[in-house]
Amino acid sequence: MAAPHPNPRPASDDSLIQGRNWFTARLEQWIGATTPSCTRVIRLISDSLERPPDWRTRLALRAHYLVCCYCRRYEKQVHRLRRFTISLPEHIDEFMPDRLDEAVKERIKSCLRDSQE
Amino acid sequence: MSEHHFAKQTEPLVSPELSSDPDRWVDEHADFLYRYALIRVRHREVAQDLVQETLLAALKNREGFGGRSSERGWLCGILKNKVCDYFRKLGRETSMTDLDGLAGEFSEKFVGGGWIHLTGPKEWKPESDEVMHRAEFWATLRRCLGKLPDRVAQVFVLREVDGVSSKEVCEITSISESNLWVMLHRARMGLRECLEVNWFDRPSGDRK
Repeated sequence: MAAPHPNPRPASDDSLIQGRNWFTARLEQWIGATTPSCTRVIRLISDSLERPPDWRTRLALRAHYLVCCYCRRYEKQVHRLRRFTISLPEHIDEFMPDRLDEAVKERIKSCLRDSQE
Repeated sequence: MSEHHFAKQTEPLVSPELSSDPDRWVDEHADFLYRYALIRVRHREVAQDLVQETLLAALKNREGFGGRSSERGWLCGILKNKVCDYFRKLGRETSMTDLDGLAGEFSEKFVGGGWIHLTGPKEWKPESDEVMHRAEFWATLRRCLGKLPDRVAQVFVLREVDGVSSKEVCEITSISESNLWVMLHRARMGLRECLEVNWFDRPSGDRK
């Protein structure tokens, strides 16, 4: 059997509640055990973009974010992603060099002319 | 008599000014429409055909353009419908192996259902949306979209770029709602990760 993953916290971990002393360690453990797992939380975050979650789910997510800065960041980022993608069409001329070949344009023009006759 | 009257009325409208429209449409809007289609369908030939179909439909329904919106906006609206028709024709072809592939990619980010801290989401700096003014950023986002499996990208773009409701997306692509939610979730996971790796977690000089 593989050894349990050590999963150390990097210095950038800015979760509000971290097990730095006996009390916060218990609190963190308790919140971790009573809220959904991270894999479940990120699915709930995605689903909440489709349908507003009920209060229980909202509460569970809020509580989870207290001990998990990663899911908290994830939530912020998928909301940002949504803002980005909505604006994407406004920018397509700036970032897409794709053009129709002249030959294709001519083909379309003649096709349009034919349809008028 | 009334026929004659009708012809007399419409004749000056159709020619010569308006009959030059189709050529001008191609010159002024075809590249834009092509890009617009390409974001959604990704295959060049299909995108070309959609542009042609759009302009043909526009020509047939020229009276539909009452000058309410811009000409380009009107053409985009027609193109959007053509894209949806194309997706409808594709029908039920969701490849679940595509989804499995995406899932496998992310399993290594978790241990026992929790993030592996060292590889979990990082803070995205800067927090302002200044990136939206940078063409390189959009090019990165496009490349990230390009990495999603075809079908996942289709539903994602319909939902998040075009803002089509979940229900309509399901109807257009003939997938169930629960399937759609899984696909959107995977798409968001993939895009978030890709943007982080290729943009936000990179020194600005190295962003491409």
